[in-house]
Order: sequence, then C-alpha cells, then structure tokens
Amino acid sequence: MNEMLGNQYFMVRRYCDALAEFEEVYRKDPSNKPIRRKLIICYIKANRIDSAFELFTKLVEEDLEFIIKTDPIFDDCPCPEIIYELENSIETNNQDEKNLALGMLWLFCDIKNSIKYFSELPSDRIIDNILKKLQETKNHLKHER
Amino acid sequence: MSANSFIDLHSLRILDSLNEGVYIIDKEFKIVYVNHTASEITGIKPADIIGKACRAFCKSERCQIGCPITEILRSGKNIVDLESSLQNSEGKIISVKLNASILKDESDEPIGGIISFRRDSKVNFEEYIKSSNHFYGIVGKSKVMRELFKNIEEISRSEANVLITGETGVGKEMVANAIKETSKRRGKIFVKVNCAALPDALLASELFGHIRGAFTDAVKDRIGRFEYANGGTIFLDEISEIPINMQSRLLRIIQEGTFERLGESVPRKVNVRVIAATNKNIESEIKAKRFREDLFYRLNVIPFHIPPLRERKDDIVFLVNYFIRKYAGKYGKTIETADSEIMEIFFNYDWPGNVRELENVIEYSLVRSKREDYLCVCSLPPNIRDNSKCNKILSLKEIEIDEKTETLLALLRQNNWNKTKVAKILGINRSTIHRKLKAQMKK
Repeated sequence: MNEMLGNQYFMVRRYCDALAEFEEVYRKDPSNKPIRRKLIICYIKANRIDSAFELFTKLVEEDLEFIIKTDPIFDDCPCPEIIYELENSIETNNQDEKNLALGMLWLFCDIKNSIKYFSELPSDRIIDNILKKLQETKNHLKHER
Repeated sequence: MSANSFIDLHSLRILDSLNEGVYIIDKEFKIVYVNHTASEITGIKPADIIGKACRAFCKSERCQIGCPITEILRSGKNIVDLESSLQNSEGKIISVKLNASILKDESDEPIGGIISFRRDSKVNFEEYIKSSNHFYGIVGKSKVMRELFKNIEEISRSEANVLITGETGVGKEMVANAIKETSKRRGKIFVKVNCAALPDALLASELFGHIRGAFTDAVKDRIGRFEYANGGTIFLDEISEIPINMQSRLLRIIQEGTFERLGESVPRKVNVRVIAATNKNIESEIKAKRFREDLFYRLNVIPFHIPPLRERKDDIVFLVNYFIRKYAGKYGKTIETADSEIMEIFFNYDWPGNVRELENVIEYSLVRSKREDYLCVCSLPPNIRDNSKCNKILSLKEIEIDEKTETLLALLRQNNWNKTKVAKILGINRSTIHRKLKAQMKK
C-alpha cells in the first residue's frame, strides 16, 4: 500500500496501477477524501462504473463540494481529457453507463453538465436523490454569486 | 500543505543557504518548497510554483521516463547523482545531477519527497551543439564565416536560385542546409542529388523520372527527383558534372518549371527552388564549353563562395573542439581537447581537403589515441604528424604494431572505411580488420 506511489501513477495517467494502490489505502482509511475522489476516476477508466458510482454516491452524500471544488490545474485533474474521450467515442454498449460515467466526471468540472447527464438516466431513488442534491447545490451556488 | 508542515523554519533557512538547488514535494507531488539556488538555476520564482504539480517546475525528461521519487517508492533506495535535465523559465535545457529521497511520517508512511540538484558540468555533444554559437551546424567564428552567415540570413526571404562554390570539403552541403533552413521552404521537402555519383545514362531518369518502357529496365513509371521535390528545395551537388547535352533540360526546368518524364511527351510543371554547388571553376568550364553559360546565369542568381580552411585558420580551434566532442562521444572517449603541439601542426598545415580532412584527422586520432585526457601528436596520421615526435617512448615491437595499425587506418580512411575493399588490398580477411580495429579501440 502506498498512497504516494498511487498519486504518481495517477499523475502519469497509469490508472490501473494507481487503482491497485488506492484501493489498499481506501481499505485502511475509508475517510480519505482525496483518495476516494481519485478512485472514482480510476474505476471509470477501468470500466468499473458500479464501483465508481458506489463511491461517488457516498461522497456526494458526505461532501459534494469536495468534488465540485476540484481544480483541473492545481489538482492535476484528468477529467476534462477523459470526458473529451468519452463524449467523442462512437462505440457504446450501454448508453446509460456512458451517461452515468459522464454525469460523475462532469461534477469535477461543471455541475450543469453533470445534471444534464444524470437527467438522461432512468429515474430511480438514488439517481433522483443525487439530482435533487445537485440542483440544490447549483441553486445555492447561483445565489452565492 | 506548506513547507513548515514538513520542516521547521530554522531548517528551511539552512536549505536556502545551500549552493545546491532543493525542492520539496508533498505526497500529491505538489511543490511545497523551492530554495534560493533552485530558483536561481531555473529562473522560476517560488511564489509562481508553490502548490503546483512538480512536473510544472522541473519539466524534466525524467517525468516521462521514470520519476526519481517513484523509483525510490518502488525500490526503497535513495537516488544519488542521477544525470538528468531541467528546463528553465525560458525553456532552455539544463543538465543536472540530482539526489532524491522520501520524507516519511512517524509511522513510516511517505508524506513527500526532497530533491536536490546541481548543474552538471559534463555537457554532452548534443547539448554542446545547442549551447554553442553554431550556425545551423556550421562551425566558424572567423570574419569570413560570420559574413557568410549574415548573407545567408539576408537572403532568407528570397526564393531565387543559389550557386555555392568552394573547394572540396569546405561544407557546401552544410551551407545548402542552412539556406534551406532559413528560407520560407524550411518545413518543405529537401531533396539532395549528387550529380557526379550517377552515371550519365541514369541521371536524366533520376532527375526527371520515366514512364514504363522508356528504356530497357524501365518496368514501371517512376517520378524523378524534381517532381519529388515539388513545393520544396532541390540541392544539386557537383552540378558541373552534368553532361552538356542534359544541361538544356535542366535549364528549362529551372527557367519555366516544366519538364517531361523520359519516354513521355506530356509536359509537367513543378515549383522547386534550386540550390546548386560545385568545386570547379565554373567560368573555366564555360570557356571549355563544358558548362552552358545561360544555365550558369540562371543558377548564379545568388552566389555564395565558401573560403578554404587555409584562409580561415581562426576557425581551426573551434572546429577541433567540435570534432573532438563529436567523436569522443561516438568512440566512448573522455578526451576533451587537443594539446598545443597538435594545434601548432594544424595551424601550419594547408588542409587541401579542408574541413572534411580535419574531421577525418580528428576521428583517426581519437581512434588511435592512447591517452584519456587530450589528443597528443603520436595519434595523428603520419602525413599530418610530419616530423613531430611524441614524448612517449615506445618499444620496437610497439613501433612495429603502431606502423601496421597506421597503415590499416590510413587505407580505411582512403577507402571510405570500406573494410571489404581494404581487406582485398592487404590480402587479408575482412574479419582480421575487424579484430585489429577492435583491439585498437580497446587501447
């Protein structure tokens, strides 16, 4: 287990290697928010959308702003490039999974686009909860400005 | 996270007073501290970089090929004196030697890393080329060469044809490269043709192309060098070797940009800038009716004459250093300079083969040199060494071996390092030459 090594792998976009390190760190310390944030991205890159969504739901419940406040430059966030790849990929076996991944990734960059992708998903209790929370935060941010 | 969370204020002051560059990163690989020397070497202010990812600071090739901190995390061993490079604020590459280690918390968990570095005085050949004032690879600081470089820059906006004259080995091709590189066509194709290297029968087909059936061996259509160079530049070396009967076709393509492939009657059009070169006195060739006057005027729109090395001896010292670095790298030697006796011989020699001859002499001497620190007279080829004696006392057997090796190397040099040809001349096996060269290299 090595958080720092995982961070390096993440920085050079070796998501599978980073995932192995981060999973161990998370198992030992489930409260580590920076690791959970990166794990969501690693799971999406590893096409483990369910695992990513499970972590994402917990983090949204706990501290949604922690995701929103990600700075693409200072946090070296790879989401813009992953979003670009996903949005421009023609091949898709499951449109709902793609929308779910894009909904999660967009929250790191732009809440409006995140809401757009979550709205396209079939309604269920968890998705509705997330959408409700995102709308509230969006309105709150608008109000703050 | 601030630097103070890693290290106390007193220690930070100590780091700031060091002559080595130091920077500290946190476990997210973000810069938390940069000392005064690191900032001075890179020209990057700490305030502009603190909090950013470390690769934004060092921009090292190590970020791509293997981050030193990652290596320590994997192996558990600290990095000492690793050769690397950094980029300064202007994007210039700086060779450095670096040390790296991991910072750990009380429970032995990595929480960051510390990297120290100093400039690496041993600069490799590529960096030497980049850092020294060479003009597109041409070495020369004498007045005539500086004038030549100025003229090349002055014509950079022109599309006119160029004729380069100069003795053999002065670097006409290098000048042609520089003309192309400074021109508007620098990103376009650059085709080089040595007109003397092709037999007359092949030259027309090579330059203009042919269609299937144009001659016995023309089994399929083939484009010529001019067509291939369309939109770019063509360099016609040894232009005076083109037979007079083909010169009219060349004149037409230069004048009008049109030509026909051999065996074809459809005219084709190309847009090619021509740079030609010759080591002959072209006026004498015109007088002797071996070169068309109209073609000469078409080519000689911008004339360049490269002076022979004997007329720019000031450049010898720069050329010697340049070639020593070039071949020291190639042959794995640590030689960095030539002794004063060699330089005196070089200054008194006329260099009929010009820069190419000097280059060959340096390569020969480096291969033969038994010293590790500088080139000495004993390693020079016999024709250059003349009567100079080396301080080293050799036994009779050593002299005999030396002479044999010298003969072998001289023959190789004369025959463009063609070992098969030399083996035939000496009546020995090709593998024997390999063995002898290998033994010589080990010395």
